[in-house]
Amino acid sequence: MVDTLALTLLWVLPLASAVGMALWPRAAGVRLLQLKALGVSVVMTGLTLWLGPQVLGSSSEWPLSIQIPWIPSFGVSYALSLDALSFVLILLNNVLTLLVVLISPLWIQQHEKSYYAFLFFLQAAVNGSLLATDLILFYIFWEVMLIPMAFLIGIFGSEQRLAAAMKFFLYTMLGGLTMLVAIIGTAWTVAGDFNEISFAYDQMLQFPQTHPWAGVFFACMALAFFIKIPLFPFYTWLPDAHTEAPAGGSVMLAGILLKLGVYGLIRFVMPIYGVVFMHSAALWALLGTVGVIWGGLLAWSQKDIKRLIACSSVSHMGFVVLGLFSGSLLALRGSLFQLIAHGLSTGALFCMIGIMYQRTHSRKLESYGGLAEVAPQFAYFFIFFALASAGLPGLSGFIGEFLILIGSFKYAPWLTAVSSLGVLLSAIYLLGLVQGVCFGPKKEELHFPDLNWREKVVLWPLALSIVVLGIYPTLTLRCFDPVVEKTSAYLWSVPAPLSIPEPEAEGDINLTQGAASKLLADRQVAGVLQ
Amino acid sequence: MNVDISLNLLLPLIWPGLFSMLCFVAALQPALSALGTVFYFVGLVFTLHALAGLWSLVPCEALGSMYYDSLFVWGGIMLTTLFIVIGALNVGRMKQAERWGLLLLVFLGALVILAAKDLLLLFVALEMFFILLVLWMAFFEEGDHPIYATVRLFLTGAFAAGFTVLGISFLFGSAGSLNLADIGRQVSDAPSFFYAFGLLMFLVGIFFKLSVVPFHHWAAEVYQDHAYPVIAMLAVVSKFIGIFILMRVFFHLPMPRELLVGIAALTMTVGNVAALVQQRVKRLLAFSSIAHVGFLLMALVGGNLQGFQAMATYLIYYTFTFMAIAGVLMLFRSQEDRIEEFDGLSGRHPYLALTLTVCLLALAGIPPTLGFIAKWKVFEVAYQTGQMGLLVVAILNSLVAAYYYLAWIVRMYMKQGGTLYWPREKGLPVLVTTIFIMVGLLALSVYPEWLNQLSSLAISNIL
Repeated sequence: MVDTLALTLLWVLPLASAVGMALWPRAAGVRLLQLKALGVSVVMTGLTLWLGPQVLGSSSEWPLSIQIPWIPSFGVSYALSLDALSFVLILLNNVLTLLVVLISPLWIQQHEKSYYAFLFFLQAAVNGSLLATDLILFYIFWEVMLIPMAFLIGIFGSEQRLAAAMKFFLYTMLGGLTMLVAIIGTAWTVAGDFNEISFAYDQMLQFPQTHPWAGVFFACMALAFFIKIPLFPFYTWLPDAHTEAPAGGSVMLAGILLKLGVYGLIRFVMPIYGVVFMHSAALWALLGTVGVIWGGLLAWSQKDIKRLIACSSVSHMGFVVLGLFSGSLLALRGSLFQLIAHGLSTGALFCMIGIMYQRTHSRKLESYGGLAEVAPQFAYFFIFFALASAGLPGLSGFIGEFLILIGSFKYAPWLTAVSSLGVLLSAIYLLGLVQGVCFGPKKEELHFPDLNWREKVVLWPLALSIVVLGIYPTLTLRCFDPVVEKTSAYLWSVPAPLSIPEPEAEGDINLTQGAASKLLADRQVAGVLQ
Repeated sequence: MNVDISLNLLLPLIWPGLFSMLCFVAALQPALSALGTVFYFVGLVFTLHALAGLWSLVPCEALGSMYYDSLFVWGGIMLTTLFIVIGALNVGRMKQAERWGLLLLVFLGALVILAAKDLLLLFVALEMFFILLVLWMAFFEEGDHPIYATVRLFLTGAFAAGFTVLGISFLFGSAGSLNLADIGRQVSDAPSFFYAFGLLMFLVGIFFKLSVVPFHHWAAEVYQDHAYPVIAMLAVVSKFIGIFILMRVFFHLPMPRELLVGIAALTMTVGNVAALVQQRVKRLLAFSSIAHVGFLLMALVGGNLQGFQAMATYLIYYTFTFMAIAGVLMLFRSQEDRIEEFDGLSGRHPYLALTLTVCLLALAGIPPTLGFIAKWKVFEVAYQTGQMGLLVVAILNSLVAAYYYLAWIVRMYMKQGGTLYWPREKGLPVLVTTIFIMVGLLALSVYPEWLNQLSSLAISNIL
């Protein structure tokens, strides 16, 4: 009962407060509205933290889980489960929402009601899709997520906002529809001619992996997640959406929405279509690598600061994809860590851009310069987050990329070698950005007051967590042990294709000292890569 | 005992006829004309009651040429509800009692179509429905050129009726019977050329009425010149009936599936692509309704009970969602019926804009609206019958459709400067009706198990 309530509250509470925001009487004043929003997001973060010990301390596969029939005749149940992976991402989502709510009064001066309503609506949908373990329920949350995000872009964005909102919506919806087909096909294949249809996650895992349609279903479902990540050829919606979105929307988009693509791959695609996943891993790892370089080059050539960070996301998420598909458990750990690290550092960078835009109403690189002199505190933070994003050792960005690179080097040395150029590229464009914004000649007409208390309150936690994760990564890596264990177990259990040799004994550098990593040798998933 | 039962069987047909007569009597005396509205609703409620009473008697045959099965009772109840909604949207708008009487007779014609197993009865009922519908439409003075549009519809319909009769005569010639089941049995071994030709002509006639591509050209022209009650009637009731006829025919007669697949793909594609470039709301609705018929045909392609159930689900969703949209649009006072007038509507009428948004998201099939459930079930049918090509076409169409529905929503929320407004002094019945529909749709989408129960009633006992 407590489980049911807690898991349901995770998405119902933000949804209810979204409705509450929308119905909020205008006469009550904006101040009270902001306080209420703050209160709700504090409660949400508190609720998540309260669930933490239960989830992370448990050794069962699903520490918290409920399943109630919802549409029994269609085989759909109201099934929510929380494990370490979804817990960490939900925590990231709720913390980012809290920070956005905290800083938004500076950025949003009109239509506050609908702004907060859509923000909480988004939070509810993201939490829901991270919890759902019924595929139809997951699909519903996944598609619903588009609505508040499109509205955030379309109402609060800059000049080209309508086109960007539309592009974002339709592009992502295409992936959603193909995913629906994959879900239907998989469920009916599992059910066969005689069994009751069910879309429950456990049921979907029974999918016969060597089924002739497995490749099609894999492609259909993975497309949804590839678009969301975004993987190399599917990234074109992202720079527009990021550039036009309001700063708060960009933070949520980069901080959590992109991560959901990776979540979907790990939670659904890998376990359900393990064989196809193993066979096609080389291609996706290659696309990830192309994304790393291509995104980096794109970022290098941008004159618009927000677009630059958006393109750097393509590059950084390319690393994550490489890590996922390289077949190394160590790289998988790195990818999972990179999700959090990138969410924090890029979220923080978008916050910085929001702060700059609020002061100057310009996103052009050339309109800034010499801010280190004018606004030293701002410059400290800006340089810090840029370095975190570039992967400076000691900060969180380094750990993720390093783990991915050393993990995948064993199985895909060439791709890894090329990808490591991406680190170099990110140093080039991010240092160029720092150079252009903080140093160089001071722009005379630029009026740039230094950070105020509200901005500092938001930036300090982000900076601190980046440092903490950078010097003590085990804190997060340990959370992911069950996830890695589960994923490798799924991949282990599938009938091995011929080209893949027997798993080796423990060979990788063991950074985490976790129990699971001792037990589990790296599964050489993509022998084809060599 | 015997008499008792047959009276029960006839009651659903007697009530609308009787009350329409009462309406016409009331029309003779101007002082009594307000009674027309009352008679209309009382007649429908009695019919509803009589139909509900049939559940225990189905399946059986009545008058030798009518099927009384679950499909008929379900369709009849749906139809009665739809007519109650249409009537409620017109309360205060239709002053003369004879218009209510006509509407009841239109309903009677439609009801007989649902039960007809005899092609001749089907034709007569179809023409009764159609000609009285045209008469009813001619009373409306709103819209740009209502009379012009009515005559256009009448001529198109008469043309289509020619095809239907030609088809029926060829079918009779090839099978020696007018009874659907008999024809099916006769031709199932070796369909002759005459049978194929007759079936094709018959279908062409129906396709005209359904405005299926390539017989769809009249729809946008008629819609754009007419008032919203008429549009709701054409886009909902006449499509409902056309789909029902196809369902009956497909159930009994051997039919090439490829033809339906092609027609379905063509209809949804042309409908959606044409809707993409429309600047007038009524034309957009016309093409959108054409595209939805394409999706309905996609469920029909399944040809099995599951397909019929998906179709019933889709009909429940589509008909009521469209009624709600028509209701909301009826409230507004529009100058030129241009879509730009919707710019910034959310600032002027936030709740109406929200209602319209929910309905448009439903038509686009975005979860958690009913549109998603309906689309999912239709996709499932296509997947199970192996129509992968059609499935791909449907996915691309969903995207195109999402674009123009979304563009409309974008106008309401993200642009400024429109002129559309709701003169609050009128439209209370419309508002109440719309709220009722929205509550119903919301309940179904929160707990879709009810939707399944409703739609499975339709296929519980098919003759």
